Amino acid sequence: MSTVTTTPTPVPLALATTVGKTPLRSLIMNASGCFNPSLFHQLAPLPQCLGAIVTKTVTPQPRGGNPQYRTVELAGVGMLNSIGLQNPGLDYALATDVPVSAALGCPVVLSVSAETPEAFGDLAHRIVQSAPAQAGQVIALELNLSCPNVAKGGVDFGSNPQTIALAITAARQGLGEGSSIALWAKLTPNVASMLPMAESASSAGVDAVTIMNTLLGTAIDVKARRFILPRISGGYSGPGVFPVALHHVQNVHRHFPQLPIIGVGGIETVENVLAMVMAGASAVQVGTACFRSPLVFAQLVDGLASWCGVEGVGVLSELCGVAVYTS
Amino acid sequence: MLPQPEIPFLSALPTCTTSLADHDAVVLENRCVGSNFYVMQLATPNTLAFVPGQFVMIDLPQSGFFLRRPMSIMQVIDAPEPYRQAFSIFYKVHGKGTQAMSTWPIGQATRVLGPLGKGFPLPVSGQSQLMVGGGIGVAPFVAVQAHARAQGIPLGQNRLVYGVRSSQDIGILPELEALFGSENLLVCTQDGSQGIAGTVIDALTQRSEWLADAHAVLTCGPTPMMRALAGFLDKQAPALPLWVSLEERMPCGTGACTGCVITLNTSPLPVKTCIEGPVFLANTIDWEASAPKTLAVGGGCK
Repeated sequence: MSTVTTTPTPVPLALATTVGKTPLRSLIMNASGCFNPSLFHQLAPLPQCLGAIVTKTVTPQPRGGNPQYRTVELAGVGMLNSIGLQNPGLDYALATDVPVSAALGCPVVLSVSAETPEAFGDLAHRIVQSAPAQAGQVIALELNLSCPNVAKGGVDFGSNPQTIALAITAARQGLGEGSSIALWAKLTPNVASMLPMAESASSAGVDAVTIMNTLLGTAIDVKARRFILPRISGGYSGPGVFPVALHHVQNVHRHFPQLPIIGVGGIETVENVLAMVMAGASAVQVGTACFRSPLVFAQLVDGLASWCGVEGVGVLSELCGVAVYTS
Repeated sequence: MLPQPEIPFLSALPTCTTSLADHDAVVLENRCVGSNFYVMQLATPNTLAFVPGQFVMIDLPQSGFFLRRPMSIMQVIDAPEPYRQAFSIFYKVHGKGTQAMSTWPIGQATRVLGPLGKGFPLPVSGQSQLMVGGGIGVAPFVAVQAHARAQGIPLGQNRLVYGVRSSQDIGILPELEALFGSENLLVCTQDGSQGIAGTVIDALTQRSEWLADAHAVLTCGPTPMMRALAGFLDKQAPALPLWVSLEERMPCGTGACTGCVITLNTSPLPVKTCIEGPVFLANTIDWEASAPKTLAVGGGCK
């Protein structure tokens, strides 16, 4: 039987970390949109694995998402998705998803997206005022900037330093001065360089950046001579993107060493997590690997704790960036 | 606040999660039962209790794949020592994943996550269930009927219409006859090579008394077949509930990815087939909105 033992053991202390101002009992989180907390909790108790639960991205209003087909398997390397941010809207998430995750014993990171800077600000304001936030259940907002900026002709917020700053500034104002809720910005790799984006996010006052969102990719059914996804391209994720994510994490960390980074992209193994930390990540998120094995979190925690024991590493996060700064 | 989906029938469907786990599993048998159709028996070291219509996600351990494959649980079988549970699945080689599965030898190790999803309404004495299976879609009806027999429901109460392309595709017919009784089983082949020539709808047209006797119709198979059946029953027997088990692309099976959604006319947002279904009441499905949309781009010189 592969389910984790029912006698709970706490997260090993070696896996505790701090992302900016936010302490986490485990440096492992799920990535947004890849995870059903209730069902996964039945398979392995989440509080013993996760530093926080990241919600699926919520928008101010419900969104129905894209038509089928929404996913394509990519042999051996991962998958494409074109979900289209289907979600039941912020009010529903605050009334159900957040309390459900909190009830499982995990702090919640709300992944949010909007179509205008003002809407980002309004989202943040509504969240601060909400009962879950007042109860301390929401520890951070993660801005999903891979959403078209309607006011700027539909270009993604995340593909331009100015619009990144606009969204972050608005969200910061929405949170208000002195809010204990951290602000994270999830950056897209679909830009010529991520450095101006990270610099802009940092200047606009984010507490951390999440690197990275999915890569754009497409697939063609050659028999039918058609694109498989109805919107042609979708987000490429899975083990195949790991080296790309690792590159962006080390690059941003090398240029902006004071900017906390949450590394995400293709993480599946203990070695992947260690590499992300050594490249400069303070924490990591695991996404597509959940589709293959819902026990991935428990396996990573066990493996990382063992590794720390064998290597004599007291606190894993102390290795943050060592690959960058050790010759 | 978003109005909650009004889907009362979903909460009424049976589900079983007492043995939900990512089970180690080993192949006991992997038998070709017709052109491209296979029955695989898997054994697990622990109990895997389920209700008919639930499914498992089977890992493809070989390199070259990433996602698991959803497979309906067909039948519980006796587990040899040292295993505690064995069950069968019925699959057709459709793509590279099922092609790889068809080569698995006895003893092949894999993992099965489950049981997942909601099952068909359980058989009740005196309430005749008419099952309509297309191809591998017959698998859950083996489970339904085995459950019915175990409950003491007599042969003849439930009936099965089994549609395939040709006589080469019905290698599991002996098992079906044993479960249902041959007089309660109607085979139809598209090429007319065995049984009634034509579709399951042709078969039901010829055997209209089966429809008249039925208290509910259960179907699983290719979506065009199920959609056509829903249209047929709308006209022929509009009061008869039709339960469909949908075969959608399911990347995770756990309600995580939102990849397998369908559109219901009772819900404001698309619904995840894997956790809200895969069994739905047909008259709640918006078939057109749920259908895959492809782009008529390119074209080339075809």
